[in-house]
Formats: sequence, C-alpha cells, structure tokens
Amino acid sequence: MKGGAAGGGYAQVVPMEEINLHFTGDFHAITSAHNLLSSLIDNHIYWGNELGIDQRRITWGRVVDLGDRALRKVNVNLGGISNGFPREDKFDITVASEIMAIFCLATSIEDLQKRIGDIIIAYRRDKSPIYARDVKGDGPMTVLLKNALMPNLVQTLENNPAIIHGGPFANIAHGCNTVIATQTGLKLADYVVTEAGFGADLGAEKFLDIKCRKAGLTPNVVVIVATVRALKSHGGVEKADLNNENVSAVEKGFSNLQRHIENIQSFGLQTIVAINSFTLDTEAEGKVISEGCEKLGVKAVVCSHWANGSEGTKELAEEVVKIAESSDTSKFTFTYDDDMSLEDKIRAVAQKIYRADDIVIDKAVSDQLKGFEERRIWKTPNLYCKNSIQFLY
Amino acid sequence: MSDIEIARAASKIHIRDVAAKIDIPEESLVPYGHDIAKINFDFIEKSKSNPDGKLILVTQLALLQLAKVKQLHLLALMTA
Repeated sequence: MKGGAAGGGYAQVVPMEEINLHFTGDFHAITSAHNLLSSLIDNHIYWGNELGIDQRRITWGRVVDLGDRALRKVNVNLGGISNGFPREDKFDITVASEIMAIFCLATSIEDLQKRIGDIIIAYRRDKSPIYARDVKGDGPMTVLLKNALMPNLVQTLENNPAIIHGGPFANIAHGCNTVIATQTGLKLADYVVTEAGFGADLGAEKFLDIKCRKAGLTPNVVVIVATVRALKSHGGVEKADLNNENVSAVEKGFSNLQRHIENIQSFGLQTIVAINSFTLDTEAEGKVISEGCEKLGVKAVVCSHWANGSEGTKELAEEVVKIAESSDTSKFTFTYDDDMSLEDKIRAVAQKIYRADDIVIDKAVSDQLKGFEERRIWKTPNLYCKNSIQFLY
Repeated sequence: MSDIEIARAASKIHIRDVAAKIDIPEESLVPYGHDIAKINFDFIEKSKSNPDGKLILVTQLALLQLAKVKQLHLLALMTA
C-alpha cells in the first residue's frame, strides 16, 4: 500500500496519520539516496568530469516528497565558478524516483546495491551510458537505505498484522509494495493479501509480469473488486445519475468487467469478483453482475466492509480461502517472455491485455527501443504507462 | 464518523502483541513508538526456511475516481 492511502470506514490500517505522514522515514531515506546521486553527478563534473558526462544528456534528476510544479524544470549550479557549470535539471516526486521502484524489487541489501549500481545516470558525447556505480553512488546510497529496507509492521482496526512497505507510483512504475514485504508475509502467515495499484489491466498486469516474475511469486487467487456504480459508469451513465437504478447500463458496463476477468484468466490464474456494495445498489443490478460472472465460471460475492469491517467480507474471505486452497498455480504464465524483443513485448501487452489490433511505433521511439536493446535492458520485463482511459469499445 | 475519526478511535494493541500473532518475537522488532515497528533482517533471514502461505492479489475494475474501493477490500480481507 502506498501514498496517502490507509483504507477507509471500518477497513483501515492504523496509526493512519503516521502511516500517511512521515511513518518510519523510508520515503525520506529514498529522497536522500536519490539526491545523493544527483549531487555526485554535479560534483563529478565540477572536479573535471573524468567520465566525460555530456551535460545535455544527464538523465538523473532530483526528487522531493511532494508534487511541486514550480520545481519540475529548474536551472542548477548557478552562482559562479565555485558552484559548477549551470545546466537544466528537473524535480520529480519521491514516489516516482527510480530508487523507489528499485527498492521495491530488491530481494536483499546486496541486491539493492547491485540494482542501484546499474542505474544509467547520463550518456557521453558518443552516447555510451554512464552508471551510478561509475560515480561510486551505489555504496553510500545503499547505506542511506539500510534501515528503510526493513519492512514496517502495523495493525488493522481489528488488530491484525499488516506490513506496509514502499510505494512506487502505479502509473509510471510497477505500483507494488516491496518484494521483501510480500516474501516476509508469506513466510509468517497462512494467507497474505496484497494489492496492485490501478486497475486489473495495468496494475495486475505489472504485478504479475514484473513483480511476480522478478520475485518468483504466484498468486493463488486474484480478487477483482467491482461496484455497480463503476459498471453503470462504464455503461455510459453520467456521474450525477449513478444513484438511479439502471439495469441495462450495468448489463452494458459488464463487458468491462468481463475483460478484466478474461485478462486474469489469461495468466492461468483463478479469480473471484467482489462486489463492493453501496446503499443505493438494487438487487436487480447486482444480479446482472453475479449472473454474468457465473457464465464466465467465476463467482461474485457482495461485500459491505466499509460499513461493517471484516464482517462485511466474511463470505468473500471464505470463498477466497476455498479457491486458494484448491487452486492449481502450475498454469501461471506471463503475457510475454523475457527474451522477446521490446516491440514484441509491447505488442503482446497491447493485444492480450488491451485488445489492440496492432501497435504503431513512431521512428523516434523505435530508435530508442533499439538503443535499449543494444545495451542490456531487453531481458527485463517492460513497464507500461497509461492514462485513465481504459478499454474502449 | 469520518475515516480519521474512526482511525483515531481505534483500540490499538501494542505492536509487540501484533507481531506475536505471526510469531515475530519482540527482540526481532525495531520499534518506532508503540504502534509501529520494523522487522529486522536476522529474523527475515531465519524465517526463509518456513513454508510459504497463500498469496491473494486484490485488484479492481479500473475507474480512477472510484479507486479507493479496492483498498477497502484489501483491508477488510486482511481482517476477515
């Protein structure tokens, strides 16, 4: 779990304010580690630029733990000879830092250091890459992150243990909590519930294709949360009219849920639909969802946890356990293989997850993809970014 | 009650008692006050020989303005 998000109603983790504010300082450690590398780069240039960093091609910016529009593009090293060589720089928000994404995929402190060392920070005039380890950033940055890498334990409102650790953006990064947190949870509890940021298309795809692949995890069951309101909205109902019963809109919007179900099934995984009930939902609307799911061989269960806490998801929990205990995880497959070309990986995700006919790649982008492949990046899972527009049909 | 009122009114137990529920001994915790603790690496290393539990992924139908509902599910499932 990440960002300013600790649940709501009677389904929350506590102490909510601390979790949403400074918590155990992990985000601040990530900010420091990130900016240490930034300062090492400018310092290296100041002291003679032995590595031949092309100051126009520095890819490593700076971060701050808030979205400050005024800092998106800045000029740095101003103030004369003793302050270095002026250049353009940028600030991102900490959760968008590559350190955050790496931190969450690291399996140990040694692995973290290796991953940090592999970061490309800039290019030379001949366009060859320069790495974080070249400016000796990996060691001190890892030291700054040493305590942060220990998972954080808190509790739910009903005093059950919850591990909250890491928070990469779900739109531009993989959006999952740390691998260490998930692996530790699995060693300690019979059932570990985790989430993936954003929808079942983007969030779950990245959780499965990136995090599970990298960490060797296989979910025993995937819960897809749906609301009658969301399906009505997908069925074309305006926000102001969502409170009125509209069975045909739910029927129309069901095709969206159907694709999410089919997507999860395409990974060879077992799934169940949880209908998050709102007081104004009608029985007829709920029936459309449960009958539609049944046709796809998937169970749908109505839940009322916002109002009732865990009691409201008891039936769901029972069904989830039933599936988890009997599911066959040997059929788990990814959307694409590691050794496919970047273009083919993008095509596979576009076609299998988003149902595109094909993809068109601009020349500037295909040149960049070729550049990545010539270096070393092609054997890693791809990361897809998207806006809020989902499947269109 | 609003979310923050519910959170503030929670009857929390000491983090060592939360840890005890999943067999983490107190000496393996790095406490940050009464309610928060980090789990140290020695313990994580030792627990690696334990069998894995079942992994349950909670995901959602994508609609940004309604994104919060999934997190509620996650937490409710954790408590159920």
